Amino acid sequence: MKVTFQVNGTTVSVETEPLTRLLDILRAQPGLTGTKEGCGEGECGACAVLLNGEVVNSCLLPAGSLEGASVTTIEGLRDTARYSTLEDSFGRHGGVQCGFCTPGFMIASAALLRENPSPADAAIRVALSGNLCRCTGYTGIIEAVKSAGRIPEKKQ
Amino acid sequence: MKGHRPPTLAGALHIRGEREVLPVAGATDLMVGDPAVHEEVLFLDHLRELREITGTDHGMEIGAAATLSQLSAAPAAPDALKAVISEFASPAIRNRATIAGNICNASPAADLLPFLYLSDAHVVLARNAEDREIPVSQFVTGPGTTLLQPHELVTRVIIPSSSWDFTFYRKVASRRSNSLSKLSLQICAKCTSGRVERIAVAFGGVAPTVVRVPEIEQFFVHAGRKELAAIAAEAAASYGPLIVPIDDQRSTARYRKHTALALFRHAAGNLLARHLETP
Amino acid sequence: MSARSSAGPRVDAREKTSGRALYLADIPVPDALSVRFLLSPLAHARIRSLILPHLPPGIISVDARDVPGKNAVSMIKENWPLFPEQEVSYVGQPVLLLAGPDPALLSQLLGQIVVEYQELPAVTSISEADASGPDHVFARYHLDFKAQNQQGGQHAKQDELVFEETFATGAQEHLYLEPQAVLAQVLDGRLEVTGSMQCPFYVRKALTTITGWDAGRIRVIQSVTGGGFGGKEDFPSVLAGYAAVTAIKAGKPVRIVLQRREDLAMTTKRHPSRITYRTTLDRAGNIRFARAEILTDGGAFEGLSSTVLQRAMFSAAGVYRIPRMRVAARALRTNLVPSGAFRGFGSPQAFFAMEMHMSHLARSRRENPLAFKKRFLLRRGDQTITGGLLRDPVKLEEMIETAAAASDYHDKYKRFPQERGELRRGIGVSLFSHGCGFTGSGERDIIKARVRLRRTAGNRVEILAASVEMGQGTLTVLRTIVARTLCIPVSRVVFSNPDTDHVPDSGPTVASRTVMVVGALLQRAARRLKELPEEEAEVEEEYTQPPEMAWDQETFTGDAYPAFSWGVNIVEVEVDPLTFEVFPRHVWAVYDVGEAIDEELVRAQCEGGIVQGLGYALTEVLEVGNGRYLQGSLTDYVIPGSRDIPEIDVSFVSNPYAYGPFGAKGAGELPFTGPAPAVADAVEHALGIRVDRIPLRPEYLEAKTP
Repeated sequence: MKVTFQVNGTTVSVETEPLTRLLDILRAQPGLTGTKEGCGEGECGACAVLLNGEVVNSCLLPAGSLEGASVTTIEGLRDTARYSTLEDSFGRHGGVQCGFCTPGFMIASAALLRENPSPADAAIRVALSGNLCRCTGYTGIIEAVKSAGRIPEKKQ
Repeated sequence: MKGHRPPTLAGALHIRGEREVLPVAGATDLMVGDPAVHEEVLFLDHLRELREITGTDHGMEIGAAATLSQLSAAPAAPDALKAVISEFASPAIRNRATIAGNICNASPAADLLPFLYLSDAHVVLARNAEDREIPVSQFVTGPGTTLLQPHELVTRVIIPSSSWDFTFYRKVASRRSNSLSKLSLQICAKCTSGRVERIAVAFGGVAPTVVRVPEIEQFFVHAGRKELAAIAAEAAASYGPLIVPIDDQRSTARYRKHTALALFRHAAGNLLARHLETP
Repeated sequence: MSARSSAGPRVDAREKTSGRALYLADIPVPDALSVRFLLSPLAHARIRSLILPHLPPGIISVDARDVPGKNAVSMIKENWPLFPEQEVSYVGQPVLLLAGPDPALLSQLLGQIVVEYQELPAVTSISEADASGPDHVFARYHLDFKAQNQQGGQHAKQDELVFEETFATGAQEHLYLEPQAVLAQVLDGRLEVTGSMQCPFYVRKALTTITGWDAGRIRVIQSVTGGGFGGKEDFPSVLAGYAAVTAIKAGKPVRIVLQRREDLAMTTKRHPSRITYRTTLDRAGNIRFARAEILTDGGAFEGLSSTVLQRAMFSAAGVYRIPRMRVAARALRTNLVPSGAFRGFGSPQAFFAMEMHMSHLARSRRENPLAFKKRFLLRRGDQTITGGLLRDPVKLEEMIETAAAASDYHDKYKRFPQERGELRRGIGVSLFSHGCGFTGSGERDIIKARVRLRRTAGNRVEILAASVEMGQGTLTVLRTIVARTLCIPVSRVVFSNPDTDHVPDSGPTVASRTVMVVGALLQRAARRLKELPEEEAEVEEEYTQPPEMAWDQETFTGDAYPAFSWGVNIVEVEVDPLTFEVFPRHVWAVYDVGEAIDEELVRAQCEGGIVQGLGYALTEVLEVGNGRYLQGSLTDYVIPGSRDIPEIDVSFVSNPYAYGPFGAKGAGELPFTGPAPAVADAVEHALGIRVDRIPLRPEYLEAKTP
């Protein structure tokens, strides 16, 4: 099956099995290893990307659903002002330790802040409930997102 | 493996009518299993006709490929349904999972099925140009099995409107974040002048399919606050033999049964009684 | 309380946040072969025959016959076979592997392998193993402690009370987010192995045995490691063994990246335990004598089970003065996946049992558990259970007051049982410690750590050490120690992921020794470097044991550890009396880790350790059925998520340790130990029941509550 879609603004065209995972398609592209495989079953969120602006687990996304879609990975997100705010905030609040889960949290946090620019604790926990972290205990991550939420977004 | 991605619903129905294909929408369950078994796959998630959600005089009609996130945001969605969706998996899964997928997967622990049973929801099945409509409670026949025929597609789910003034929903899982259900219970009631007019009760995860028994619900009709505890106890005793959960890697039969009935007695006895007190 | 100190954001934050950091699976190695394992479906069986399908060109199979050296992974002993020769010993044991360019094809071919097994009896629990005789015992130890100036024997006098109870703790999976991964290739006649690991020199040593090559021909490089927690202390030697043997046979690079289900099935788990205390109290409630029996489940191969058992033994008296104590301990062999190192390393198991036992002793006397425990707290100058001396201040009393005040413990202890809300509330406390560093003379006699500091032009200083960053902040804190000592900015200090070709062996990244031991060596090296005038200079430092320490490994007497870190946890929970779900609402944690060099880093470690400890206490279930742990996927093995964590308040007391850099002791493992006993105590308080095991599954609590 041939699918043509956008990744971080660039057109990608692949010929592949209909159920090939978006995760594998991404990681086969040069320089797109920021999206991680942590479980392969949609439980850990390390593979999270934005699909047409919404958070999805790329390990569960079949190629056949990609036609015409717009995918943003951490590599695309990191050029945005929202990312800069989050990167700074995660660094200051102890939101990063081993880092393997972090790109997924970036994606989920960015999606949250777009919908809800100044979220309270409960909303943050729900938005991040599909991302697992084993190192931080989440406290630093939640503080980082809350803190990033208090900073008004500058338009790029 | 061959993949079909027709541009229209008519095209999808045609392919489904002519070929042996596996219909796929959100794929959140399919992609975890071993998909190699299937030879042809029919993608539906892009079809706008299948993603429409409309409120009607009689309730709501939900396109089979509408995602749970869409559904949760729809103005026509009743609170009881929103309560269920808010406990369903994670945001990333909700952005892909569909109502038809949850129904057709027919897991005994499916999150949406208790709500669909108690709201007398129907599925609309299309085969080429013909539609048929079946109550969800008949459509699901056992763990993983439904009445879906090989050349049919679920196109819509119809949820009749209801005027519940009391809703209770509890999903018991291994943790609050993103977890499969061990068991669930939903109760909706309509009350007038301090008495129960109608009640609907559905248990999930405690039997091969959802347990809903209109005959037992009848016990509650006209009940006032003072009678509720006794009626709830009687109802619990009647549900008992129908609640037949299993032991598995998530929980035990004993726990599922004990907890389902304890929650029921509390909700239908105490909480509903408190609700009847308030004018 | 120490002033907040921070070195600034950790040095590796941005590369990780941005997705630029390359973990093993991200490193481009275009011609690397992938690997898929044939795993044993049986707990114990003889392999009678094995028939491979025809393998297309480019695909090879690898088994015991392909091991060039010895078919054994060297840990403490060499009794973990890399591949089975005639017998499989646990479900999930790799029987052989297939290597080739296309993993999907490998999986297909695996399905075509025909194996005939003859099933043998399997032992899959501590009680079965205990009844199965000496060949099911990996290690057996005793401790017999009698405080100086103690009178009296072990037998209870007429007016004394004897309490006996048994506790159980379950297996636990590390669940580092990055599954285990390794890359092996032969380059110019040398074996080069890159991998996600805590101990590059352990891996190198294991590879010398497996390949038969000497260490000079083997290079091991740590790749960016996505979490370890002890799970990447022992198992990477096994995984590297598979990759190395395959790379040598294939003549091509081989990359193994475990899928999560493989990782769950194959890699080591925390030792389950069954611990029995039998304690004699006099009428006044003084503990006269205690006896502990500790049984652990080591799984199918011994690995590190003997040292885990030792630490459990040395923790058996908790933080208390017990005038006479005997401990009998056995690590047992079962047909389950081997147990291994995991944060705490035997200590959490013992502390759970001891803290619960003390709490139960208190309740039997209708005393508040905290008040009872305070009667027996160790103090400076006391002996430890191995007859060592507590030379440094013990600040437990102060820490208890801080935690109790912050949590309003005493008021809640009285008030909660009287409440009639829909959720039952409870408050619990735990007091705990962690011996920092390797046991006894392990540092001096086995590890013999060395570090080097190299100054180059431009006043740039490079740290050469084998300590690994796995999230806990090594790359940042070791640079901070050197920078502060030299009075230069951290940005001038360089520290790369260790490569055995370039760094001396400063020992494994385990046992909460990285800051306290390696950091101290670096501080000493930095002080010497500071005195050298040359622009380019290099110093090397070797470990020396603190002179007061004395330890006899044969009799387990003396100072088991150079220093102890201490902790107090108070946990408030809500329990739903209908569903028996336990919701931790607040954790107050006070720690003595000497000094926190970078308080933000240590705080973050503590929060992570607390949440991991809550998982151990509540939701992380590994239950045996059909000869194996049943929970084999992330859907079923449940760790806490963002909606499950309580409010966490962490504070530190200052108690500088003379031999630690800037006074620091170990902090990595300590925070894990506190939550489980505190949660269990709180649940008992909330429900008015007695519990004797973790995890506190709702299924268990429901059955326990009348």
